[in-house]
Amino acid sequence: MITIEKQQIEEQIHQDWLQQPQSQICIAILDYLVRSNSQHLSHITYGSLRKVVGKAYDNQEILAAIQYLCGDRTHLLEPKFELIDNDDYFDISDDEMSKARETGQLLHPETGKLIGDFEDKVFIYFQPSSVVKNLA
Amino acid sequence: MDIENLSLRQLQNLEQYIPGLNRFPSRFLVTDYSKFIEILYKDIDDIIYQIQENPELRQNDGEDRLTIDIRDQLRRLGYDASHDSKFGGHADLLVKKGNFTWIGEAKIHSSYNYLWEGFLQLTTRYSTGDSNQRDGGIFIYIRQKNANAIIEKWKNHLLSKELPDYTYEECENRELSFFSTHIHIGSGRDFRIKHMPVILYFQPQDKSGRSKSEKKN
Repeated sequence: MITIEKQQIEEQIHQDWLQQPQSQICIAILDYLVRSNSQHLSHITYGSLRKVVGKAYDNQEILAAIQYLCGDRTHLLEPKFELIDNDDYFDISDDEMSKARETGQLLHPETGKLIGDFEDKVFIYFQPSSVVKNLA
Repeated sequence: MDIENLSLRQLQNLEQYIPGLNRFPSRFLVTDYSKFIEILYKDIDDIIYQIQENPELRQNDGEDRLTIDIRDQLRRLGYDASHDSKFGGHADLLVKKGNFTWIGEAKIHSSYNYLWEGFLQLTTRYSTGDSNQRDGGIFIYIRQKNANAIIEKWKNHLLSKELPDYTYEECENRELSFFSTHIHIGSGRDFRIKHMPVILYFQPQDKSGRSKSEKKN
């Protein structure tokens, strides 16, 4: 198991974003992931990350930071996908999501029926990655 | 806009403010080598367009400075990108995703022989041409006018080298770029290179530009 120092990730974030707001946003999310129990963070929504970083930042700044944190460079967040259909929630696997984005078609996980305009009904949420779980 | 739950549609709609945002889920989901390269090239095109917006600020930048800017933009998109990594030499730009590796060589255009040196570095020094790295790229920073004419001459220069099984194809997403393919000397397999001009020409001919140039002379 490879452990990474939190400080090392913080340095990387500062190096990559310099004085831009994303530095502070990424550090706030990193702190949140570290201080929270990973088991209680199985469903982090965009809204919950907005609360974590405070009201000082706009959607563009926060989304750019989240995109960065999901990437291979730091890989602190693991994006997950769910279909919300009439208040029912269905997890969509990475494979299903890949196929849907490739073909433009998503089949309902239960009924097998084609979902019209699935981009409106599929939502992204996040989980802490294995990197967070192994942070020293 | 107050977003609680983020849908794929909202990501699409926010793309106009954050180039590449709509590709973010695909960038993360990709497990297929060809798809990795396809998404990477779209992201690099966006970065090149961004760099080209301010050529006046880039007139004194060297190859390293320009390439580090591309690396930094890729990193902000989440890529594991590095500059000057030891990889059979010191590759100008290295992007890794798991076992997949893409190598870019960068040259400020001064002569076609100089570009050819870059081509040789990429194909005979840095890359193995194996299945996990059967693509590479050459950034051609162009401060002269008419990038299109320079790229056409570069194409002909490559043709004259009679590389084994050499072919080239246009780039569908960006007319100035093109792809070449030839047999990689190391692997004996097809190796495809994207040739990517970066337009840095800046000699404005309006009144203000003319007077600045006269003062210099």
